[in-house]
Amino acid sequence: MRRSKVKTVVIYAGAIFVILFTLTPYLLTIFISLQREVDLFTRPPFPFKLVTFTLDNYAYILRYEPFLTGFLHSALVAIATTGFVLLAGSLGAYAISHINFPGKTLLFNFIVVVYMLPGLAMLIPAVVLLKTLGLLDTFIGMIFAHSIILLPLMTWFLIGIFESVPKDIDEACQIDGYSRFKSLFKMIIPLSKFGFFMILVFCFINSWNDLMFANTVGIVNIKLLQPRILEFMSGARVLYTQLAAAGFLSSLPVVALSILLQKQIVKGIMKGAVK
Amino acid sequence: MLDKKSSKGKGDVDRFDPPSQSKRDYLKTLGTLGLGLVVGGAIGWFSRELVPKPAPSKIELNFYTTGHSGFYYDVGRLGWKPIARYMEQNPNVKINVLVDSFFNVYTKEAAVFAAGVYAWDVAYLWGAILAEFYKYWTPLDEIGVELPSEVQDDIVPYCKNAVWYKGHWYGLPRMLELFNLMADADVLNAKGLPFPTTYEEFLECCEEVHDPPRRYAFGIGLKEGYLLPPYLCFLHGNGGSLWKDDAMQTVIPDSPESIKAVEDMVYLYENYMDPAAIEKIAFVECSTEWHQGKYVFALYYPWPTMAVTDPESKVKKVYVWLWPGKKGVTRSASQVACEGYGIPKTARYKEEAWKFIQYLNSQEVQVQMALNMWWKQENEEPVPTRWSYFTDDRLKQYPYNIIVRAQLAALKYKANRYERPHYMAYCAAIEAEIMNALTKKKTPEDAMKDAREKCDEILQKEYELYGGGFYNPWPDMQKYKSKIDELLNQIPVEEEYIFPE
Amino acid sequence: MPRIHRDSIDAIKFLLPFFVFLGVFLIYPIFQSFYYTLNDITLSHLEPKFVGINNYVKLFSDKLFLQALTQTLLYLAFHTAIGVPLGLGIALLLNEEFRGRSFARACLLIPWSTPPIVAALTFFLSLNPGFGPINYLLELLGIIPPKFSIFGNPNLALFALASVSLWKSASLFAFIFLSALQNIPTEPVESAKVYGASSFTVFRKVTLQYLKPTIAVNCILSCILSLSGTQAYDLVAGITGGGPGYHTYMLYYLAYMTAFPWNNLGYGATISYIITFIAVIFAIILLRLWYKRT
Repeated sequence: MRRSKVKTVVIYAGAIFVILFTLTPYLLTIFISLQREVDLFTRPPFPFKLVTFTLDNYAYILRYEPFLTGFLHSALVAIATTGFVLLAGSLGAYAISHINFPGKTLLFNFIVVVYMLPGLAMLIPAVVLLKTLGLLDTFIGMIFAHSIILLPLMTWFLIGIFESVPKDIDEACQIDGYSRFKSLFKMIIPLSKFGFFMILVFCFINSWNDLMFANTVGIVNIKLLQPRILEFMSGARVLYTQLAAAGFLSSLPVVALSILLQKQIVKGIMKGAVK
Repeated sequence: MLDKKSSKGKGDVDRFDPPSQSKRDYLKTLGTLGLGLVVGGAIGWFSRELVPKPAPSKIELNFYTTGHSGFYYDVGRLGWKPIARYMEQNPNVKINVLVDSFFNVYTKEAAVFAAGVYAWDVAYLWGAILAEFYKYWTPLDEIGVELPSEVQDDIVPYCKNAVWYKGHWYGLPRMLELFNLMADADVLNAKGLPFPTTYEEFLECCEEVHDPPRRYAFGIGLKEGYLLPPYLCFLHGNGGSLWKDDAMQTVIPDSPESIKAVEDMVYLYENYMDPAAIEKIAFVECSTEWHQGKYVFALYYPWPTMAVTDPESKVKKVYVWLWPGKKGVTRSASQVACEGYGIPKTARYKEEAWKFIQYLNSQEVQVQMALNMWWKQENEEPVPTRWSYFTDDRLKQYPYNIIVRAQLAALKYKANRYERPHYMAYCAAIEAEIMNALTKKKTPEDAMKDAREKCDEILQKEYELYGGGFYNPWPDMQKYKSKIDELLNQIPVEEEYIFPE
Repeated sequence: MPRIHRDSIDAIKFLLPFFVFLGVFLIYPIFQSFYYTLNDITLSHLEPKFVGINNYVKLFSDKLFLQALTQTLLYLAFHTAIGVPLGLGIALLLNEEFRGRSFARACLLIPWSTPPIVAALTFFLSLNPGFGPINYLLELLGIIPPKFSIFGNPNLALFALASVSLWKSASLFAFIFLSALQNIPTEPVESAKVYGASSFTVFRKVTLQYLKPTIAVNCILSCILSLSGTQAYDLVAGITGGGPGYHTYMLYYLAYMTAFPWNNLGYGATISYIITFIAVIFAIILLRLWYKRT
């Protein structure tokens, strides 16, 4: 397949555009985080003049106790939420994709609609509910809060993924005496590995990135990271360079995770996981 | 092209073979189990709060306080030594300090109160939160405390707003600060300009020193979120008031003085300020950029004055005194910020909490906090909250003396902050319209009329829930004018820092 | 036992944790928040006072609500009209083979995975009138006057905000389009080429037809993200705080501010219900389209 010269130029120009478009803001933040405040406030800004770089901002942030706590708590909550959502979601998605039961389509539609609901509508009642159950400001409460949005969403995706595994395999498993559980965990999930991985990453990322519930459900005991970032940007005094460092560090896990697992993610997408 | 989706499974339909990756699956299952254990362990660790602990031998107080920056956790500078000292003096008490950003305080306290859970024994208090959630704070008479009249008289009336609501005391104030006018003294002296005593003189000075883009005459941040304080200075400087003196204490942003105030702000922004100020956050301009010598005048709490003690600062000498009002209207005007500490209803150890609050309001602690004032800091406590503390010897050294004098002098003039239950709502409404005027989206008059409309709506609701009759400290403040003069005389200062009153 | 019975019992077993969780944490709060909209209730006065549909009626005469509604719809339109074609363009590009394609694809993951508040932070810093490099570049190119504040300009701020959201969303759309492009059967495309059609015609008459449902899906997704996604709140709160002068107030942010700092929970819940209502309509349309393509 030969390509015209024009097309090649267009493609490479487009590629450069995409790379610049996605990377530039991120790189700019990194550059700001490596400057001193004094340099930041003198025009012209960095790319247009030479500055001495410094790691002081990172040193500040890495010694800043709320940031470190936030990082730890966010990581734990994200891992636990992913585990919970995937477990409950897999079970539910399996039921909808592989078992024929009355009301299946209705349930599926319901899940989609539920995903569309704004988190805000559920914020206060969910908080009141958590308080009644004594789960406000606890680890489990936070996991449940995140799952409110994530469970329907991930189940929806998982349905798509499981549906790509033909029913015949499931039948064959059952004929051979496997219970449905075994069939799910031993056959179907390994077969939809890529999509599953992608969902796992997606779930982790969404839990890590959450701000609304993190801010409301976590009061004293559970302090997550993203609300801290919002805090850094508010108030009567903002330290811009430290802010940039904090932003970069807080996005590092999720960005690194998605890049490391990019093969799985992209493959999962290619296999139609993200419908 | 084969359908990629099911290519993996198609071959295995006829004969059931365990997948060749069975070993991997087992490892995976083991891995999941391991992860489950980790998760379960983490759950156990974090949920230990749910398990009732045996009664502690020490009384543990949770102490919730704040700093006014997003980067509030400046334990190093302030050191929280007062806390350590208290624990030394009271070995049966352990204090857990929980610092949060001011931005969060409102939502956190609201959430905790609405949820009715225990979170703190001593918590941060200010006028609006107290008025809105008064039912969730412990009135002192409930724990059998009656403030002696000497103490009540010793508290600066502006501070009463933070800890007193409709007949009941709820705690004690922690800090007090007002806006002052600051000037880069070297610039003024080089041009032979006197420190302005009227607003008109101030404008003349601005005209002389404005030298963009190297140096702007006037430097304050104008980002929405902190517009009301400077606006109040302009409002009071025009002789106006934000509340009417009626039963509902109607908020009147559309009064002629208010419209003039907004016109003044627009004029200053267009002519003597950095165009980027509209996106600048209050403190940043008044400290970091101030110390780089980018501004000549600033209207803010006077901590940037402390830049003179920083060798890296390009500003070597600061004049700080009264923000000038309009000629013939008033000599000066300001706005006040005062905060305190109170005892939430869900506190565990209320008597102990009260003792700690008294300690935080003691002369030693209040003066220490004032001495920790620093132009860059994240915890700001410029002046004590009790008249008798102002003349502490330590506050008479340079540069504290010029700051304390400026704050005292400002206390003689109108500086209301107008806090009440729905302060946050009408503050946002007024700020939004001021911003519309600044960005030329509306004329000041139209903007303030719209603000009035919105405020009426907000007040209607507030009246339904709370009635009216909120405390206005201005009449009480006027009784202290001679006291303030007395105090001013007791704080010595160099000749060149004395300005007309 | 007949198959259908056994299946139903199995289904129940599998769906139990899902249902229990959703029932408790999702359905119940939704009904309760609907109950709130029929009441006068605030955080400081948690005893509800029944007012019927009063809150809903008030909405029609509330200038701020109407302003937020208009702004949300504008934002939504801009976001979709620019975001979806942009995503399509990127996807078409990344579908071609060229050196560095996997690098470009990896780059696309960055906006997708960045936390929204960090994205807000990024653009807040880059577009700062004082020290933002992008601003400075625009100044050098003469596009904007010196120290011009984009987020402080009432006419531009909304679209600037939408562009920030685009940065995140376009990559999501691109991925969805990529997967759709991969699933297009090649025979029609090949045969069209054999018949001598130019690339552009091939694209227009063949590829685009297969992509129609996906385009629609992405459009609806864009609408939903603008309305109620986490991006809606995080970006507004981080960058403009709804300013300048209410000009970046969107329904979601208005609902939050009304319910919490402005102490009117019932009214805030009402606004969030309107968002729900609009979102549900979009969701139903999405479902229809989704069924059409499968």
